[in-house]
This record gives sequence, C-alpha cells and structure tokens, in this order.
Amino acid sequence: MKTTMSKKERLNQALASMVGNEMNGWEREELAEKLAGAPEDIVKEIMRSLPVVWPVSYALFLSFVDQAIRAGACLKPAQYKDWVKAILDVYEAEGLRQAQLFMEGVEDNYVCQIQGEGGLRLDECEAKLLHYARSILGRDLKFVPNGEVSFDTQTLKLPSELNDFDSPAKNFLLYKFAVTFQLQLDLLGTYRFPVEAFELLDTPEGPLQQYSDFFKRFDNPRLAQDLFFLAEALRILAVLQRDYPGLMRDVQVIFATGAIHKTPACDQNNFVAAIEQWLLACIGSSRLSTINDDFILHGAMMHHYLHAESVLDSLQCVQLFYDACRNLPGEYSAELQLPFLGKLCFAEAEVQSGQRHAALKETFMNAFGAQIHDELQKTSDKEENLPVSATSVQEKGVGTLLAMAAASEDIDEEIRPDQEVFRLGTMEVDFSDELLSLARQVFKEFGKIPGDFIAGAIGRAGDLFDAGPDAAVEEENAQPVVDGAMIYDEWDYRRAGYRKNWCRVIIKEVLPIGGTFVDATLRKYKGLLITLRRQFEMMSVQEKFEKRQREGDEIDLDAVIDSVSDTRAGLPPSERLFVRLQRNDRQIAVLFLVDMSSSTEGWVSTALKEALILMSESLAVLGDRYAIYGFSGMRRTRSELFAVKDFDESYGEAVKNKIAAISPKEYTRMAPAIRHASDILDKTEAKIRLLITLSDGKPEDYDGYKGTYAIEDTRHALIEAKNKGIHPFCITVDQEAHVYMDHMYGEVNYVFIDKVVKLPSRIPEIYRNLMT
Amino acid sequence: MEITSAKFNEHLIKEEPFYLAQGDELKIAEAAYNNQIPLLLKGPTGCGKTRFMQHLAWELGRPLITVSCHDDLSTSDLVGRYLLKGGEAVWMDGPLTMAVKAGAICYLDEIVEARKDTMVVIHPLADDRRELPIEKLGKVLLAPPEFMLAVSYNPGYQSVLKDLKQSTRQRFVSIEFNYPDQALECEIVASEAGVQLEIAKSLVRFGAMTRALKDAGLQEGASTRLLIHAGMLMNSGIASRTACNVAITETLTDDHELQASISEMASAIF
Repeated sequence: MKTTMSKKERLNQALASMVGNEMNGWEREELAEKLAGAPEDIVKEIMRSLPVVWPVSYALFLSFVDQAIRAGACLKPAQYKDWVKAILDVYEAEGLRQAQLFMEGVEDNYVCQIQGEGGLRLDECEAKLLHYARSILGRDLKFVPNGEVSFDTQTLKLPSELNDFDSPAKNFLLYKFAVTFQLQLDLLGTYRFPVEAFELLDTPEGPLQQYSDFFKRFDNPRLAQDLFFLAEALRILAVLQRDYPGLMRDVQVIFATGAIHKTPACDQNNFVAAIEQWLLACIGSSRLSTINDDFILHGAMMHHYLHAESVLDSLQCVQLFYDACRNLPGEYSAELQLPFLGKLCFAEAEVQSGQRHAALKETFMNAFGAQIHDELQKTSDKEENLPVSATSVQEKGVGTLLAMAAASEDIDEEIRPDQEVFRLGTMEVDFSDELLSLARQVFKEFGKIPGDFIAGAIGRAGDLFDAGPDAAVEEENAQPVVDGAMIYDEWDYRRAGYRKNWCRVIIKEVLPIGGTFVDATLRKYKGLLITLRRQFEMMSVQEKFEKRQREGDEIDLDAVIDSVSDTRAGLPPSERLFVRLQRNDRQIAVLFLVDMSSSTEGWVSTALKEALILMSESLAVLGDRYAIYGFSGMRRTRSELFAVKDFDESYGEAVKNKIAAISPKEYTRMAPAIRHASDILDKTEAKIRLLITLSDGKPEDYDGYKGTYAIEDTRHALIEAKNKGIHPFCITVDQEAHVYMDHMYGEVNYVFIDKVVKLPSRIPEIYRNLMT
Repeated sequence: MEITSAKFNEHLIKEEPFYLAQGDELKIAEAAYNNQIPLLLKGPTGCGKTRFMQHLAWELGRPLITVSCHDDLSTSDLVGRYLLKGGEAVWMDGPLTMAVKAGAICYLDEIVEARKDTMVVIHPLADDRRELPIEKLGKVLLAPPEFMLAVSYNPGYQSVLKDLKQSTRQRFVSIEFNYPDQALECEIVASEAGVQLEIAKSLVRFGAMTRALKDAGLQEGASTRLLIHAGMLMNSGIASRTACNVAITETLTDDHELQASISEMASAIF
C-alpha cells in the first residue's frame, strides 16, 4: 500500500511538472492512479510520449493513456514510439475520432502490419513471380511496383504491397492470380483490336481501326469500355479455369465470399458493380447458380462466359449490356473495383507491341534477305532459274529485277507454317535453322509471314547485290591505317571481302589502384568462394594413368604380359612396365575479354569486376592458364585493349588491383579486340584454347560502325578464331541478346544472364560446365 | 569366348517397345542400316533416343547392346581384356566385340564422355572398313552386314573438352531428337505413365513452362521422361502437386529461387 501510494504520488508529481496548470488536480490524480496500476515499462513509454501527444490534443492524450495500457497486451515497449507516430499521422489526417478508432484497433490496424503477419510486399516474392510470369508469357517482361495494376505487354505494374487478405500466403495468391490474369490480356488478344472484322462495316464516322473508335460510338464511352473489359474478364476467366485449374482452385478459397449479397441493379453504377459481383462469384464458387435472381442479363452473361471465343464475341456483348444498362437511372461514373482487373492501357500496349514487332520484322527481313541473296549468288550461273537472265543481274542492279520478279505471279505471297521452302520465280529458297526459328516467332506474333515482310526481305537482298566493291562508304577518313601498331583487316559483309589494314589496336596499361574493392569483394562472397574452391579443386583432380612408363606406382599388367611373350619369342623385352598417375594435365589456356564500354557504367562494371575476382580465385586453385584483357576505344584508328593480366603473370596484388581499376571507357568495337585476342591465344601453347567474352551489348562504334555491319564483322572475327582452333564463347547481360547472338556466336556458344547481380556467381559455374 | 545363343537372346527385344515417331527417323535409320552406315543421335536427355534404339532393334530383329559411356571408359572396356582365371589368362569379349560377332546393334550412349582413346576402335568400325581391331589378340574382326553402330550425344552441353571432332562426326548419319511437339508429347506421356489424356496435357503444359526458364539459370527444362515419372507417381496415388515436386522441381535444380518458381507453375496447373 505504501509503495503504490508513493508510486502514484511520484507519477502525480511527474505529471504536474509536465502539464502544470493545464490539467486540474482531480484529473491529474485520476490519471496517476491509472498509471500506477500499469506495468512499469508501459508507464515509462506513456510518460515519454506525454510531451509529444499532449501538446497536440488533450483529448487524444487521455484516450491514448487508456489504449496504451490495453495495447501492452500486444505491443512491445520498444514499438510504442512508432505507434505514437502512426497515431499522430492518423489524427492529423483524419481527426480525433479516427485516431481513437485507430488506437482501439491496435491489433488489426497496426500490429499485423508491422509484424508483416498479413501483408506481403512485392519485393518479397518478386523473384519467383517473375520466373513464373516469364514461363507463361513465353518471353521476357518486367515488374514495376506501382499503386495500380496494368500490363502494357512489356511491363506489368503491380501494387508494391498487398494487404487485402490477412496472411502473406493469401496475398501472394492474389499477386499470382493478378499476374496470370493480366498476361492473358496479351496472350488472348484483348489488346489486339480485330480490325479485319470491321473492315467491311460501313460507318458514317469512318473505318474502325482501334478500340477508341469503337467506344466513341457510345455516348458514355467509359461505360462501354468497362463493359467490354468485364466481358473480356469473363472470357479470360473461362480460359483460366480450363488451363490453370490448380491456381483457380487455390484462388477459389480466398475469394469465396459465401452468398453473394443481392445487389438490386437499380442504377447504372450498381449494374456494373453487379457484373463484377458475378465475376467474383464465378471465381469464388463452383456453382454458378448462386447468383442474384433479380439481375438482368444473367442468362446472357452465362452464355458469354461459357461460349465466348474471341475478342469479337466480347465486343458484340457490349451493345447488349450497354442498352440494358442505359435503361436504368443515373449516369455511370464509377470505377471497376476488382483488384486484379487494373486498368486497360490500349495505347501503351500498342506502342510496346509495335516496337517488338518492328524489331522482329527488321531482324527477319535482314536474315531472309541475306538468305535470298546467298541463294541467288549460287544460282547466278544457272540462268534459267531466274525470271530474268543472270548477266543482266550485274548490269541492271538486282533491286529492279527482284521487284520485277515480285510483281510476277510466280512468287509466294505469304508463308504458311508448314512450308519449308519459299518460291521465288522457279527458285526455291531454303529456310536455314536460324531463319526457321525467326520465322516461327513471326508466325506466333502474326499468324503468318506477312507480304510486306517478304517484300522487305527481297529489298534487302537487292541492297546486298547493289552494294558492290565500289560502293562509297560515308567515312571521314577512308585511308587505311599503317604505322606499326597492331593493324587488322575488317570484314565488310556487303562486298564479302576485307577492308585491308583498316583497324588499329593499341594495347594500354592498366594502372593498378589500391583500395578496398578487392577485399570487399572477397568478404562479400566469402561463402561462395569456399564453394567455388571446392568445386574447382574437384575439377583439377583429373587423374590420368600413363601406361608403359619406366617408373610408377603400379605394374602395368598388359606391358608385363607383352614383355613375357616378347622374351619367349626371342625379342628384347621393354623396360616400360609401370603405370604412373598423372595429375592435372589439363593444358588449357583461356583469355577473358571484358567489355569496358561506357554502357557498362554502374552495376555492370562492378558485377564484371567481382566476377573476374571470383574467377581468378577459382582458377588459382585449378591451375588453368588465363589472361584478362579489357576492350573499348573509339573509331577504327583507336581500338584499345587493356592488359589486366597476361598469361604468364601470376595472380597477385598487382593483378588484383588492376582488376579493381577496370572502369567504363568508350565504345564497343569488338571485332579488332577479338582478332588481337585470337593472335595472343594462338601464340600460347595449349591443347585447348578458350576465348570468353563478357559483354553487355551489341558491337558499336562512333564512326557509324553498328547494326548488321558490326554484327557481321564480329561474327567473321569469331569464325577466324575458330579456324585457328580457338573456342569462342560469350557471356552477356544484354536483354536483346537473342536477336543477334544466335547468329554471331551460335546457339550453343553464348549464355544470357538475366540479372547483372548474378554475374559473379554464374561465371565460374559457366566455366565449370564448359570444362567438364 | 564366343557369344552363346543364350547371350544373344538376352539382348534380343521381344516385345514392341512403345515409340511414337516424331518424323521419319525410323525410315532414315532403316535406310542407314541397309546401307551399313552408323547412326549418330543428337539431343537433350530424356527425349527418346534410347527408346528409339530399342524400337529400331525390335523392328530389325537384332539384339541391342547398350553401353553407357563415362569418362573412365577405355578401349579395353569396349573391346575386351584378359582376366586371370585359375592361374590362366583368359580373354573376355567386351560389349562391342560381342555385338560385332553377333551382328547385333551396339549403342554407345553419351559417346563424348568416353576417353579419347576409344576412337581408335570406333573409327574403323564407323567407316566403310567396318572392322574391329583387337590389338591384344592380334586380330581384326570384320563386322557382318547385320551389325550396326549407333552413338548418341547431347550438343546442348557447352563443353569444350568434350566435343565430337569432325573426323569422328563425318562417319555418321545424324538424326536430331528434341522434345516432341505438344500433341505428340501428350500421347507419349499418357501412354507411358498410364494417365488420362487430360492429365497428360497438363503435364506437358507444365513441362513447356519449365523449358522457358533457360535464361534464368536452368540448364535444361523438364524432359519428357520427367513428365512421365510425375505421371506415374500420380497414377500410384501420389497427390499431383507432390508428384510434380519430387519428380520435376527437385530433380531439375537445387537453387531455391528456381525451385520456388517451378513450384508456383505446378500449383497453377495442378
């Protein structure tokens, strides 16, 4: 009794000193009494919060004291400070009442969130969700954390956090469902306006070419668009039920809302909301009959859900729904509520698709054009194969002639998926493997190979013919470089020949820099390094038994038998009767060629350097001989190669610090670097010589060296390397790698790494796979 | 030691092995056989190369002797060696010699794994000499017309050390195997695993999704064989998601991130 009194007294005094005259004595005593009965640590927190909350609002503070004592049941003392901040935020935004409600619901409103019990952040599940998304879409895409949900066929915007449900697992399912749903907007054609269907329609406003044209014809276009979206959602749902029954079963559990509350469709906004309810019912219940009987159009929606097969079906529904809705009072001005619907973004989707299609068209026309060109060259002495004579090919310029051929009837206008050759006059053009895979992509996107692709390809073939050896090249200084530095030819694919003495390669020193980069890397990857060392050690144990040796650990039985039979036969027996264990006879030399162009600035450069450190540490265990050169430069007169490590240099402080000194420079003229690296490798003595290029993009230089020309030159340099017996291999982080890498390095000779941060761990793994 | 008729029968395939042709590979193989040209089968693991050889052997009515090559496989392992039996050195035929003597089909699986010195015996068998030199016996065996040599390898494994040289490759007729197209794969999975076509379709769709993970670090997606395994487990009463997990997810990779993704794919479909 005495202690409590002193405690209360103490508290009373403390309160008095803090609030003084603003609280009358009775209130203060009451407060002190309450506090006296509470646990010490909570009282401490409350007293600490007093000067923060009291000046804001007296009433708030009084409520706070009550709630704070209650909150002791689920809040730890250390969490009070942040809780108070949250309370004040709510008070300032929404007023006293809301703040009081917020405090009362401390478990639901606050504790759940901070303990992460219910909510799920996108970055916690992004990695696996992204792989999942890619596997459905069949190509690469990006996630962007955003408030809303939308998909423009390339970027999928998702909320950065979901709290709709009370557990992370359920919120994850919502993410997964939203992702799967959004991807269908591309896969099932929602974003592709069926122009063909409306071609014959004669409307006073003009032809219908895009969605906005269609919706404009209604006097509430927003309503029409939302009704269309809902119809599409129904169609997509039916497909999801069929193709992803597992997902739909999981999602059914979280969306099951029991009986659908009957929303009488009494006005336009409600009408739309009722359709959304119906959609939810389709997901959340296996019985479609649990539906609001008052709802008009139930039959029509059911029919659409069960039978819709295309976007056109949905568009045809719109009129039906729209008319029914317009009969109701009110004006539709609401927004769709279902979390996975998000917003349709027709314009952005069109832009993205357009870009993808343009890139595909370009690549296809180049590849097909090159193929036609090659075939025409082969048959140039078989005149009867062309609609016109071959000698006139040289004279008149093939472009014209091909155009004439195209206009004739003997040409395929489009290419169907089952075709294997393409008819050009009486000539047949084969599809090479690479062309075939490109053609398949075109089929997938367009359903056929459109006529303008073919015409464009023929045009490219014509260009290749026209650009003969005398074609002028826009270059400031068309003089070959000769001054004693390393000079290399350059391959011009247009004339199928070399430009002699065209490039100069300069070897530059790398000044080592001290500092913490190397140590930091070794620390950062400590665990991985241990694993790597072990893995590489296992690789190095390549035991080879050398037979018929003069000395060794084991007797070579075969040799002994031979020697006995030789003795019997009267021949002198051999002395080589032993088997010797030979270790580590790998005889490998590998040269790492590292892209130091300015585009590697930032993440890529750091990741590349870390990868090189890890690789060097692993190779130190393995004993394979290796060298590291960076490359960059500007213009053909100054291709630069940076000597980070020579073959004979040992991996010590100097080399480590030179790796650390690697930094982004200028441009990316890969071919001269490859040619010089091949020369270096050629001079080394090794049974197996490997040239590994680490790159982040296409070859490109300041003086107009880019595009097909650069790719072809690089490809040729690689072929030259292969002819010297060197194995070229490329590790790239360029998202567009697929477009040109198959052609440049060959399908099997490159690896694309989707995330730069993975470079350091993956490069040793790739090397290991190459070497086993 | 001569090959006995018992051994001959051991390797003869009595029942038709189930095989759905992807193209005209059977016709090509038979033509190669009739012209005494050896076969080279290329393709990823688990897409039917071995099963194809079994079917071919059954069609041709020849015994099939299969050797799985590994990096310790030497010439003696293929051709034969002397063994000591009761104080006497006795010669034992290796599988290749047995096949040549019996006019059987000898199938060397994953030939690039074998040691390089095995080429010494493969080259003379694989060109028009069709002879097997047995150095230790001082003999050269001439292969009868019924004998056929077949080898397989996976070009997708990017290994510089293990590569088929031109001097070897150019002795063969090469047939490329790949994952069968969707409809065909469904039939194969349904038949081999004994599951309904609907389940087979789901499995094939799941397999296709895993194959899209190549860029994320998965060396190879699920082969047809893995899909069949999953189907078999489902047939034996294992829950679908579990079956996918143990037959496919855990088998394909040890990386947790990839496993999580593949798991999500499985739970979306099953």
